[in-house]
Amino acid sequence: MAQSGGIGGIGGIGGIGGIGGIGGIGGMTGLGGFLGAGDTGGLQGTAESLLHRVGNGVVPAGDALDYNQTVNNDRWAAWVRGSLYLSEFLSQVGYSAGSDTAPAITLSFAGNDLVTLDRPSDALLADQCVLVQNYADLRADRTAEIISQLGFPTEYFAMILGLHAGQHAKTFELITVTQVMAAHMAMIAKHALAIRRPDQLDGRIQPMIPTPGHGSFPSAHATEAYAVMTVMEGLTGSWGSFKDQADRMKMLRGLAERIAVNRTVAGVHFPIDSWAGAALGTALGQVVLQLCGQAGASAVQALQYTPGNDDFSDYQFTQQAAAHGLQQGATFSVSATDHFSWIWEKALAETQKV
Amino acid sequence: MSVLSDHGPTEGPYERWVFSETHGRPYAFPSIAAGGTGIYSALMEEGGNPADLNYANLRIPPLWNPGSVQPEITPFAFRDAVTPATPGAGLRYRLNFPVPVDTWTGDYQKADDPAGWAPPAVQPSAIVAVIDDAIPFANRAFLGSDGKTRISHCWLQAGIAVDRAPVPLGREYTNGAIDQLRQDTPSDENRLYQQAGAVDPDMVELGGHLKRHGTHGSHILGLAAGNTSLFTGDSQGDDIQIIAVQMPNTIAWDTSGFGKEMYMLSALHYVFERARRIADHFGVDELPLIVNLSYGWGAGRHDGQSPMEIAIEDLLEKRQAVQPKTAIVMPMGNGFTDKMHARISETDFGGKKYNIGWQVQPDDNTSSYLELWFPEGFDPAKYRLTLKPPPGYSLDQKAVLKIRGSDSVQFRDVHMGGEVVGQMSADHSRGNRWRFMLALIPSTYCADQSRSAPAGRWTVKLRRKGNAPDIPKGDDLLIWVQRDDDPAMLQSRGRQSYLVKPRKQGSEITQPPYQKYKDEIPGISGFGSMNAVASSSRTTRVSGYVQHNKRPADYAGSGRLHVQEKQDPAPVGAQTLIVACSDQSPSSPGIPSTGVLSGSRTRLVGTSAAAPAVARLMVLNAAAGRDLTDGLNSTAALYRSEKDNGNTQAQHKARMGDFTASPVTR
Repeated sequence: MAQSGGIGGIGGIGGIGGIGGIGGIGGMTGLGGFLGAGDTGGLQGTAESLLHRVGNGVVPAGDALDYNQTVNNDRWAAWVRGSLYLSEFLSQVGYSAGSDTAPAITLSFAGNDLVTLDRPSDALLADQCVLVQNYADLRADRTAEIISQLGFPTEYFAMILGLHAGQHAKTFELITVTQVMAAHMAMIAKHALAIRRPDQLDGRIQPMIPTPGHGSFPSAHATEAYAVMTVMEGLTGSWGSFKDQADRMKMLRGLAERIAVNRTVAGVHFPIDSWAGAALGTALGQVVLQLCGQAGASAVQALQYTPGNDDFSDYQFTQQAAAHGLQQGATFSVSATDHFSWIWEKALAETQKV
Repeated sequence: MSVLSDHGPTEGPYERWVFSETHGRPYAFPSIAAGGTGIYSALMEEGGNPADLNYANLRIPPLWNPGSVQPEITPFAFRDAVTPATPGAGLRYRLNFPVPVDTWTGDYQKADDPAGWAPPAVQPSAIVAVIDDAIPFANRAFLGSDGKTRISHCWLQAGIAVDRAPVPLGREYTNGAIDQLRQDTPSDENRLYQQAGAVDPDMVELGGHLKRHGTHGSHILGLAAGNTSLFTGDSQGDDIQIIAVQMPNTIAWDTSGFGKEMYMLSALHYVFERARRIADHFGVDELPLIVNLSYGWGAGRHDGQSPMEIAIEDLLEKRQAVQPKTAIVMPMGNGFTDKMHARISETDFGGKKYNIGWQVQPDDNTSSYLELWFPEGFDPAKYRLTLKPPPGYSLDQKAVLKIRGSDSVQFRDVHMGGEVVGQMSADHSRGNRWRFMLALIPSTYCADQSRSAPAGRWTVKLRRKGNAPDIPKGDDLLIWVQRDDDPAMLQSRGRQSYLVKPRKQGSEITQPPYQKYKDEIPGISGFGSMNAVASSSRTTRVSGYVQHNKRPADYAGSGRLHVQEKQDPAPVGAQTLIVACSDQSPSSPGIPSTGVLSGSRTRLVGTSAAAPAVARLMVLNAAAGRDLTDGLNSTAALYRSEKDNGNTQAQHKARMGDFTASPVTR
């Protein structure tokens, strides 16, 4: 989750730059830096000084643009596409909060339960503070990395996948879309569950970066990272272009884990926040793939997380989930939507062909 | 604590300070401050056998003692026990750090074969060993051509113990166990170390070190034994096996030198003993063995007679008798410019008194120590030491130390506001050399204590009577301030105190910075600043030079020079043998080596990185059947901006040693 608008984007690439600013200009729309990108203006005086050169004849009728077709998407400013993705996505999102005696949030998509997160107890949060303290040992090691990941850490995914601004503008846009949707979902859960940050419980934690102004559980960074990882796993698989695809996926997974853990190192997240975020991000990434109509995309796996006093690691998340409170629910499918399908096809065309 | 009070341990100045609640204990390493663990590590000196103590639960780690001859110094550990009915009469030993309970092996069976050890595919020609912190034993830089690790044995002294093992404490991983771990976790070394129990944030002696990008141990092990594209020259073949020991974080947390010998010495014995086992398997005599020990501290005798130095000499002497290609490589230290060493000659003394400033920094959370050593055999009975607090502060009573009577250890506490802030002591080390020592509590209020020692310029005054003996010609009184920093970022929050020259002496002659070798060597100087554990005559001492100009690295420790009027300075005691590159460029970025995880790299600045470069070259020589120093260059020429005279040549020799090793990293 970007807390500093504009840091997360790939600056200046195809108008995507600055999309990170969910809480910024876009306000509730989440369009952030999309606004204003590509708009042009004119100098009225110049215009008027030229009109005398032409007559007052009738205006010839032009050829119409395609009606209600995504083929026009390339014509729209990036923020307009951002608005379209968001509309397609959020119109299918719902949530319900559990009772006061069984506090939890269930996020749903297209009427299906997607992820249920049980609210951690105060005692559990206190226990988790010890783990957060332990992670502070790595602050000196990771300062530069953590500071550079205040916003969406897109560059880190690009590093592993060989992405380049000139060749992968639409892949970057797909990544951004995924991050924005993940951030919105995380914010809904954070709002309902309303979990204090570690530094409010334990004065010794003293985060190395400003604590964001939203709840701790789930971690939006973990949500975004696991969502992007899931979508990129799907996209690069469809590309079929990396000869070392398996190795890259291992590193991609390691990156998602590291981005999540870095927030605990920084002192702004509990390890259970990463658990919840990884669960939400994984399920959400599957939703995005289905919205994209990706052929052969596996069904969305609903998840329920009941936090316990665990550290977070991708190994446990993938191999020992049940033993750490992560249960699988029903699977379901989601219909493809126009704009997600459009961006998918565009990104798919950016295959590396290695 | 019955053992402490009833019999057995000697009470030297450090022991009294560190183990006494009213003195330094609250500020000591957490497990000491917390009152100990009930398990002690210790050293038996003067050829004694710890077994003769008759303690019920006493363990002697694997020893290399051919012919079962008792070593001069024997490391051991014991669980707090009721004093036996017949304790070993007259047996005195030196207590070291407490042993964490979780590291105490359930059933220590010294003779067992280390679990999972697999014979190397080829008979080793030589063995290289590294004793350090945070050893990344699963790093692929240490794999042989068959994809199996060359690390034959690896002992994590603070590893979580298993039920039964041939190590008394900690955890031993053999090559087979490491290969199995690598096979079980093929693409996640972070998880490997977690799974292996090599990372445990709840135990401070182990901690999360191996989660870091690079560690001292990863760097050193890489330089000494790694094969990656970072390293130049020959790579190490399958015929060079590796033995590694990871010391507890305790070792780096407390930089003062107190209490670590048991771990260090048992590490050396372990290396020698496991090397013996490898040779036994192949039915051959002792194999060439090069051990790198990039560790040390600042204050001590510096004459080869400290317990660790005696033990190192003893080991080397015995092993070189059967295998001449045996070396223990150690760095000279990094304190050349830290103003932590001073020498006082008869001329400096100038009659009856000598004053020197001891600058204690604010916000120092650990104890500070200063040692003053008299020459061997010198009787300082008519000398007295006075400690004066910084201007604006006063002590409850004047702090004066003088030797009274015949006790070989004497103490005087320093009080402020009714509480102990310091300790003065005189002790007759090994019965042949007197030491005056000062200890101060932290300069900040910490550890829930209602006392602190003021930061600022303390004054150390030495006075003598008119009939006191002169300081012998050709020798000096020597001062060392103990190291008090936090090199491994372990949050000890120590800050380094240092010496300040007496005001009377006026300012030194200013010389341009391109002349490192000054016309006059000041009283407080880095000549003699060397590692206090590296003075054994057989130790391979390594200092550091800068690659781009072949000049000594500014910080690189040096042997001592005795300055005399109208003559060139004369080397005294242990000196640098070899210099190796410890910095590549003027901006002092150190040199690169391997990080913790396979494929990562890290940089380290200091002579700690110079020593393993030499170890690397030596073991390659040994494996190829060459002399250990084969291929080393002679001493680098005096740099062109230096004056060329007897004085500068003496300084150059002290700093650059007899041999120059070529860089081993790109």
